[in-house]
Amino acid sequence: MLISHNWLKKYFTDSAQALPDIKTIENTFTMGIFEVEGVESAKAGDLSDTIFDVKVLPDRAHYCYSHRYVAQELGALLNIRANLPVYDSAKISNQVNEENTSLSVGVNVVEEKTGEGKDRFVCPRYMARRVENVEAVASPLWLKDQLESLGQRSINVLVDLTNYTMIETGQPLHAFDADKVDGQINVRFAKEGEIIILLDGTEVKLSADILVIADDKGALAIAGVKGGKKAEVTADTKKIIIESANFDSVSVRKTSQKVGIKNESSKRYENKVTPERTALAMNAISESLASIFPNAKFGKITDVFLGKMEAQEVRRLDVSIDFINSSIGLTNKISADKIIEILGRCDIKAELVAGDNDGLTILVPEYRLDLEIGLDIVDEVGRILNYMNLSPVELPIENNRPVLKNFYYMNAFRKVFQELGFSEVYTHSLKERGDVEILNPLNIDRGFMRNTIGEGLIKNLEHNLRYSDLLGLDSIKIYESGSIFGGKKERLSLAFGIANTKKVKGYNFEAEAEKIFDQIIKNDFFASSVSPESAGLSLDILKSSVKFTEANIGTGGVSVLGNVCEIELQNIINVLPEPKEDIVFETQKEVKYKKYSQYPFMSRDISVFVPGEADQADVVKSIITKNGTDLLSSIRLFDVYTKNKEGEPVKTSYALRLVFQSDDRTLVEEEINLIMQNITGDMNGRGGWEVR
Amino acid sequence: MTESNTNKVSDDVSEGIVDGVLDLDLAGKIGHLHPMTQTINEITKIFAEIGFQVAEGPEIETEFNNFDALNVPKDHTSRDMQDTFWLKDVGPAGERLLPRTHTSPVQIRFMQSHTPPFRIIAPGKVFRNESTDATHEAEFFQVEGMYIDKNVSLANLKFVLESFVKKFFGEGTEMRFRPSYFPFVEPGFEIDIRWKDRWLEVCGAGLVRPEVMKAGGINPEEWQGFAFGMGLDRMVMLKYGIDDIRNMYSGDLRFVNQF
Repeated sequence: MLISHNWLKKYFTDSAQALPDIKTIENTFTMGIFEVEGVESAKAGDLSDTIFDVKVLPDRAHYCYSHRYVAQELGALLNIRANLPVYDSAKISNQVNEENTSLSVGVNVVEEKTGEGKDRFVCPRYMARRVENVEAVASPLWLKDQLESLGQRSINVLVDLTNYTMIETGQPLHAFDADKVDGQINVRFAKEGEIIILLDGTEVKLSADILVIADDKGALAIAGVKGGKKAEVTADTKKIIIESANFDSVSVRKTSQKVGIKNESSKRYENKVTPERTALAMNAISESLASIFPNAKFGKITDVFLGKMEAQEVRRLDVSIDFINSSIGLTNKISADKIIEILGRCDIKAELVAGDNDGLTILVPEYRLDLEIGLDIVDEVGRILNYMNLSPVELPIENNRPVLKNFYYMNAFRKVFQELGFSEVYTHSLKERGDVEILNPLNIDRGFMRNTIGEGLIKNLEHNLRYSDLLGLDSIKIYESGSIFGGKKERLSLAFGIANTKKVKGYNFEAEAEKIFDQIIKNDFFASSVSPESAGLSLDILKSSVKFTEANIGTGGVSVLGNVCEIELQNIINVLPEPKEDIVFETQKEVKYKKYSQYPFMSRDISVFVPGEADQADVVKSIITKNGTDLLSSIRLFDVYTKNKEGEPVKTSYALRLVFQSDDRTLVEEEINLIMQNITGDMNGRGGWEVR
Repeated sequence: MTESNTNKVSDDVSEGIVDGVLDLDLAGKIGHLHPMTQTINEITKIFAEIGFQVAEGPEIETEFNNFDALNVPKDHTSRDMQDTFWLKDVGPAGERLLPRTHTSPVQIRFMQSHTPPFRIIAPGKVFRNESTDATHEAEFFQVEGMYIDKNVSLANLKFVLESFVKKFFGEGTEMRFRPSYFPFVEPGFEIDIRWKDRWLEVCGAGLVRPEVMKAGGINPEEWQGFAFGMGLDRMVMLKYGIDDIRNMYSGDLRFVNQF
């Protein structure tokens, strides 16, 4: 919500202290009640202003969508009293105190209740007042500028005052041209299919669950949301009916969604406004009108207050001073007097309970709906004292810390796979098919919870195969653990997959997997050195909980086999004993993450014979890196063998794969060829070296 | 968030570098743990030092555990604060089911099945109906924390969160503790850390509301507690300078094998 600094200042002109600077105000809001999302300078006419964009959250939205109460909050936090105007309805001269005069407004309000328990009036309070001898002229400059600095368009003084008063008090108001209203005001539900033409000319077809403000001829406004064209205040309006009403928050929200209109009025109603605010706002706008139009005549306010009983209950809250102190946890306890003083700044009256030096009775201000439990009072006290001043207090020592079995074993399995050269991936749980369907998916590709991890892992193997050179891998070995939902049963799974970059003769994945299972059951990752095998996990049990899948996966016309094995991990863990000790985590190593290049890489192999034994690898590498330029991304020595032929000098062959890549462009064959020529030339230039 | 880096690694960072070129001789010999796993493990370790045990809960939750028990009102805008996926199927008692939108339901489950005092952290996957982009994913990770005991105060909460921030982000990390709102705690807080000239939200926290305790079968007259929740993806991304959240779930080894 936008808050004007100039407007706030008006509440503090009589104060002993002036408001502090903008930065301090911003900080006070942020640390005391609302996050400030932006601070902007605004200019409206000659006026310069600063506008704070504060984030009002749902708990305070019922009273803080108003300058009035935001000023009060600011004053409480700064300990500078804000002077909130008291609007005395008796002060208006030219007002009629009798009913049934020409200045009266007849109002009929439907007594329908809403909500699951049918316990809330759909319109708890409706106030209407007729005002004559007014004109829909241009607003005085102060009003126009103030509204424009808050991004509100100035229309005419009558409409502008309804907006102004709403922004001031948090109570939405509406003005009807009284001459265009036929007969009584009727607050009722629309007839199914009833049409209303809104202020902006759009035609809306209403349904029977939408509350409208109507006259004898039809709907004049969608209650709490938008006014209609029929009784619009226009340039020739001389008489108005002001509406200041309270509507059920859920009803307004549903209506607003149904008709697709969200505005400053619906926002405030959706977040609830208490019924007393209707009187405050009505009196406020009456005063404003009286001062701008000294000859205005005011009719008696018609007040249909269906929710009077509930509203009149004085809400009391009993809180223990000890509770407030122990909840905050200050070393120096706050005294009862201090608590009472602090709450007083927020207009919350607190009194000591007679004969009880720990009990406080809190009188909840009518406009506050968020003060219901002791912790709400803790918040009021704590934030004013400023939580940054709170010294941290250690927790008592806790040595008993049960180890969660699943967590322990999942990490133990991770260790095994890591030692076997597998990298851990995380893939999506939301997939394009599965047994568990999402009602409202993001898109068709992610409309189901995954049946297995394996189906995604196969695709992953294929994806990673493309980059095997870049990664320096002869085979892609990945695994993932997490929840799966096949058969509509959520459970823990672990799937691992292998794809070799080239077809390997005689390769058998199931045999490979069996070796892996063997390592798992013999592994001594138990802190107590009891291997899973001796604890009851046999190869047979393991094999009975796994499922194999394979698929041909191809990159660039070459097809290899991708193999995945999925383990019903929960079944396995269930057989294992309760862990006796905690997992010991390795310290994380320092990692400098680099965003990898999206441009294609090029690989080149080079083999060279070097005289001597196999101890020249570093020399070979440094020749390459010296000539590699910054396009050389990685090198890998993938083969070394020493030739010891009789009669010939010993020589060693080194075979390396070089990968070239640029961060900002696709490489050109020629430039890489040139680099390889340089490397070859350098090598061949050394005595006895021979590039093959 | 990150400056663009070249593929070149600086010499002084790790072994496997030869004149600024990556040496891949040892690639594949040892596998790599996903940075999210490493982060969860680190966080578990930090909290283990002050007595917190790990708890878990299912990814598919009931509407009650995910919303009602946590005091999220049925027809109120605050339930809109989270965009929810719903399952087509309903539960055995006709209850609505959903992939959980936060790890907070684990608090309810743990309370229902344990007697205080206890302190738990619960890392896990959560789901939000949000379009994906560089900083948003529909599935991501959070970690939840809860401490229930006699006489639990905001000063205790501050202690736990301050020590966590220092251990995870570094001793000199500036942080602030400011009022906010969540339906399941009161008072509610947002914890921000200072990161490169900006304040970044890292954690929501507060004292557990009595209604939530009651939903967990714990008597709020006898026990008090605090709870907190953190989005892990942002923390992992901040820590390592990862600029796109989608990298975390791509299964791409060009990403994973750097860790």
